[in-house]
Amino acid sequence: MHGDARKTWCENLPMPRPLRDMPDDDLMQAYARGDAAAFDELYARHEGALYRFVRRLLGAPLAAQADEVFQDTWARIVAARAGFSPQGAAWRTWAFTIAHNAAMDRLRVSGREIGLEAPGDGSDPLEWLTAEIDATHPSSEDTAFWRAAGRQLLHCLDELPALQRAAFLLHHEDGLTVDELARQLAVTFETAKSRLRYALQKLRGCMRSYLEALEGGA
Amino acid sequence: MSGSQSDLRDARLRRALDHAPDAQLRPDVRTREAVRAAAHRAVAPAAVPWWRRPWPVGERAMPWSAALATVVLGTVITVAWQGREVPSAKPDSPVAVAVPERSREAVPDAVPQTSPQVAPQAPPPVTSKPSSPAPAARRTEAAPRPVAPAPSPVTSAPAGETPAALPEVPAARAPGPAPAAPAAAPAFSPPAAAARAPSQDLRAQAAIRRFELDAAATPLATQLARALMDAPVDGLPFEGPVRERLALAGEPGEPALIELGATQARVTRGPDVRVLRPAPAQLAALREALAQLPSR
Repeated sequence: MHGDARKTWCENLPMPRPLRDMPDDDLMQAYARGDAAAFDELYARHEGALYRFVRRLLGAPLAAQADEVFQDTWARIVAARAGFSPQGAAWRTWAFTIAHNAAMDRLRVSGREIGLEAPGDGSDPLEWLTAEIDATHPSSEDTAFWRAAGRQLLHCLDELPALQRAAFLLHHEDGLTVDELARQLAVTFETAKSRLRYALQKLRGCMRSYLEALEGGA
Repeated sequence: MSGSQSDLRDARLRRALDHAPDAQLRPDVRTREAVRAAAHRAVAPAAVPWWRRPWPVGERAMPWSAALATVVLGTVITVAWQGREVPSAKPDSPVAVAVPERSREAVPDAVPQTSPQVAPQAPPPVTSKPSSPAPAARRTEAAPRPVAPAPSPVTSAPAGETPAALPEVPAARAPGPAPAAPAAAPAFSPPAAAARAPSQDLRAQAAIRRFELDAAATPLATQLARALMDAPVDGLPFEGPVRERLALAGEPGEPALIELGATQARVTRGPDVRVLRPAPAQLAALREALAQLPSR
């Protein structure tokens, strides 16, 4: 006997796909239909990235309001669940746009939207790092170096104007093209490009020492 | 390291960003729970258990609480008003106040003159009756008049007693003149009575013809009167006025007083009073026989 190849009627039923295997768009649509578990899965996937984005966009001066803005972001997502369309932007881009708008609204209220360039505090982690590892030419694989670089980058981001900061974070976090970024920010292509160019210029200048160290060590 | 970089994207900065101190940053636990709770509440209505789902009457939920409140309120009102008359409520039909006894008594009253006479059955007014005074003059009798007394005389009067003495208390009262009185019917003096009783009463009393019947003296009339006493009982009250009053004696259970109306006869035998409806021919025959007799 090779076993019965026939299947019962219940075995022929399509098995429901586990939530963890569903793409973001399907999870959002499932949640819109009333599946609360789909929301939990979606939230778990993007909690960290969204929170960090909100935190970084608000900058150090408004860091204390990061949780509030983050919660407001998800509230907007829940409220707009029925209007989400997978034919448009991907869910991640859609959600980050909502988060961007929430953070910008808070910055606007706090009067920091224009993002006047904040003066540097003079604290350069690279100097500490150089002292720490006792290396003038750190390796690109040196985790400690990159942690220090990241700390410095956050500092540099705080110095960027909010519009440029938002453009840089969205572009580097989401991997969108400039054209997609422009649509996400509801600005023209040139405006989006201008903001990105300005942000990169400022950040590279702020991170010059780290970048030169990398070039020297590479 | 150069990495991929362009005017608009720098991998070094991206990597630095990935290693930033906040790379593992997470929101506060309370923030997380608040977000999830809000999201679940937003879709909660769609996940109502079947036994809590409203009936298919639309998108709105059934107001069960309102329905329960209505039932409770109705129960409270019902219990509160139970046994009590609802304000401004009126019965469907007017309450019938039956006073048969009174009506019966009233009948006599309707015939003012007779009522007192009829006294035997009614405690009534009478007294005032002219019957005592003047009418007595002509009529003498009014035996029944004195209300209660009437029966008394009847009862008290032994069978053997002369009919005359019978119901005629008044007759007793007005002995001599009594018989004469009837003869002199028209003349009835008692100014006192007149003063007391209405003129109508006096006239009514005067209109009653009285007879004393016994088998020896008035055989035919007596026979007809006794036959009339077997007439069927009329369930209606006696309708006056009384035209003839017959005092019947000589038989067991007699004397009896028979009062003839237009179509009825009222027979009084002691405490027993019956209203009979004899046949018209029977009544007419008796009246014809009485016409041959002198009335008192």
